[in-house]
Amino acid sequence: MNFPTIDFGWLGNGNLIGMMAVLHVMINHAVAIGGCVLMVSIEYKGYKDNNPRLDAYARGLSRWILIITTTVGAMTGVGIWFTTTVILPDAIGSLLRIFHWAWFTEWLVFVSEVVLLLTYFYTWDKWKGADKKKHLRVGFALCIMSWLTLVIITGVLAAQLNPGNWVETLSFWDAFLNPTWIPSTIFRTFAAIALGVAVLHLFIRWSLRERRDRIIAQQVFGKWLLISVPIMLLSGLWYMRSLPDQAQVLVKWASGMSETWFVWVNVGGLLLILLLAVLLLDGKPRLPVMLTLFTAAFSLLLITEFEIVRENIRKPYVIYNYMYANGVLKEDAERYKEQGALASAKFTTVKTVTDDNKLEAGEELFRMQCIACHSIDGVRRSRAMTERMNGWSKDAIAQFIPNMHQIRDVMPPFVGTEEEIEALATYLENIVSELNDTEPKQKDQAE
Amino acid sequence: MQSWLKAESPIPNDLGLMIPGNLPLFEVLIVVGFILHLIYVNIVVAGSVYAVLFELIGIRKRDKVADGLALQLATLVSIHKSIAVVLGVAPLLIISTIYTQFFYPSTILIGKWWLMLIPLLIVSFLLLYVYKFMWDRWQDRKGLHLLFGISGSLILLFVPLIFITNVASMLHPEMWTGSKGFWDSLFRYPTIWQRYFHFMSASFAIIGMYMYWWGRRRGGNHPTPIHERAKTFGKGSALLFTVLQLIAGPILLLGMSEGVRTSFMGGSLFHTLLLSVAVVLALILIVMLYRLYKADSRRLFISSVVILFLIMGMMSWIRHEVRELYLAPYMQEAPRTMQQ
Repeated sequence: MNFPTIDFGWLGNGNLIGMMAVLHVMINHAVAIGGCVLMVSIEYKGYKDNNPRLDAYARGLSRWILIITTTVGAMTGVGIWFTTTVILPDAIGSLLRIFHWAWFTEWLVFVSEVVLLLTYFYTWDKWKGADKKKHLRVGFALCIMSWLTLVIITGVLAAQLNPGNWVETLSFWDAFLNPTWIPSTIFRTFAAIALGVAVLHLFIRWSLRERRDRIIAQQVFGKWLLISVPIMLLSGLWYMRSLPDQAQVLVKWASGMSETWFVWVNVGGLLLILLLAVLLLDGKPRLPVMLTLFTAAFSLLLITEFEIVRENIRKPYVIYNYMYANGVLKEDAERYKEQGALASAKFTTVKTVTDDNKLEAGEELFRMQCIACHSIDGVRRSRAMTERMNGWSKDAIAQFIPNMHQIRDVMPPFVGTEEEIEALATYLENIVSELNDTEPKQKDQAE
Repeated sequence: MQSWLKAESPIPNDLGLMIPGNLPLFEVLIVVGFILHLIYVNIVVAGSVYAVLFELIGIRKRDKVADGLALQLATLVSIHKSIAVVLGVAPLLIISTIYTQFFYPSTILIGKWWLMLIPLLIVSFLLLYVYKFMWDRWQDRKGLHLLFGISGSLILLFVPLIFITNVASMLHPEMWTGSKGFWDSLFRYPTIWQRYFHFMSASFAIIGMYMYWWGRRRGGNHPTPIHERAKTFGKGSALLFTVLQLIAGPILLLGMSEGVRTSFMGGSLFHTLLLSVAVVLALILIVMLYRLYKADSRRLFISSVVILFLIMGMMSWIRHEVRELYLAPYMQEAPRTMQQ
């Protein structure tokens, strides 16, 4: 309301943040965290067994990890920040104020991580023999730093969902040390390792030609996987229990599955990954490709699911009990209803609704209060107005808007005057019927 | 309120939550953090251009030394770009926190191109990785290889314009109404191109110093022809572009609003003094670089580097003061939410 609005149209504003986040999380969990842990484990194994081929394998991995994390990995991380800045400025701006020093610390960790990664890569040939221990120590420090980036940012993400006492105290530590932080950190850590195994194992037949070496490397992967699966299961359950009540109910809904499916898919998937762990440990040189592919796909889906669920269950808020998903503060809602959203907005071409400017006013209101999640038309059909409001009359829309937050738990309330509701309804009916090329039908009941 | 401020500027209110810390601390952090970031950016941008240039010379003149130096520059760029990116996080974090009501609108107004930074930089970095890692393997395919270097560095030459447009726009809330995205903004707000010129000139001066330092350090007492070339070319570039800064700086100053410009030209003792010291240091640097250019000297080099760092620190400080001067009247209108 306070800032200019932006419309990414068909792509959808919310989708854009989501896509950037999922891409970043996939790469950073799999490569920067899981990949680093496995790479250093392999280097260590090669050092202990005096096996130069394992060392060469780890060295090869380090080049790919360097290339991927310093390009797509790092930039999509910045990308999450950039997309939220232009789409949800109130939310990210407030988070930056609450967690400024957490982010500042995160930055120091980033800098160390990059320096360590560069050192690790560029000293591989230099620090050999007696210096190999030094190189391994750098690798170990690199793993710790990569992991710390996850630990810190998870505190922020978890606080958005469950800020605990923060809403009353506004204290940084109350927000950061929130009850979902530890379980979600543990879950992410081991999901990252599982994902790392799956991704590296996909390529192992080409990266390690020698049968014996492959078995040894696979056993290293297997050990990590065997530890990770049960911890993922337990911390996943703990995470669910630590959520606010309403969010707990929303978890299954957010994943888009029925309860039975939700349990079966997740538990079944984890069991199959456990099977891969056992087979890897067993020392078979060749494993069913399908199982590796499944593990890779499933771990990716699991992390994506985790992200989508996390984004969805905090609704209607973006910062629980403080700020709604569209950036409106909970405490400002009543004021906007009385004074009008347009009159309170800084960047709008329309300040008051008149008979002539309803469409323009409606569009401004849509951009201010709806566009964070919804688009007029778009790829994500469940959020596109051309799908949701198809065939709705202006009156039906106008009746629905003031009550939508009661009918649907995930919707924030519309904040604005009667005239503004009317303008928004007029705009929506007009644009939806125009795009769908239909005459709006009378539809009395919402739904 | 000053006369050039239009009353109708749409400045948002600052966010309700307090800025978590005291302002001077943030100001020191942003000035220091920004210049650290910028030094790396300077090296990366100019380094990629020089890598391409030397490879081209190598091809044209069948000059192995030039090709070798180009590879060294490509490696340097590849390492420093990762640090440049990560060092950029802190100043961006602070500018977002203490200038929210100015920086967020200016960012959103060029929002689509602001997001384009992400794919642009990813593509550029990947191109430059190919450029570096395929150097030996593509010795027989120089045309293709060069194409990767040129595309990578062209993107790097473009990217600063997005950042500069944003920070120039945030100083002019009175011009926000009616602005139409990045391309319109690029030619809308004053001082963008002057800033770009000033920045590019600094980049080639700094990469010059860096090359000279690299050649000295790596070459030691038994420098190879590549080290020698890095040293001579490096100090030449440092000298030439530091002299050009004497043109770029005043052009930028002249492009600023009258109120800001006069503050630095006698209107305010503090600002005038700050700028004068920087200019005097720049003149001293030029003399020293000229002498260094004539004859190598360790002492001259070290003192030049010290002065260069001093100048850069002061430039970052002056840059901050410019922003403060521009924003002062608006800050009264939309004050920060500070701790009591």
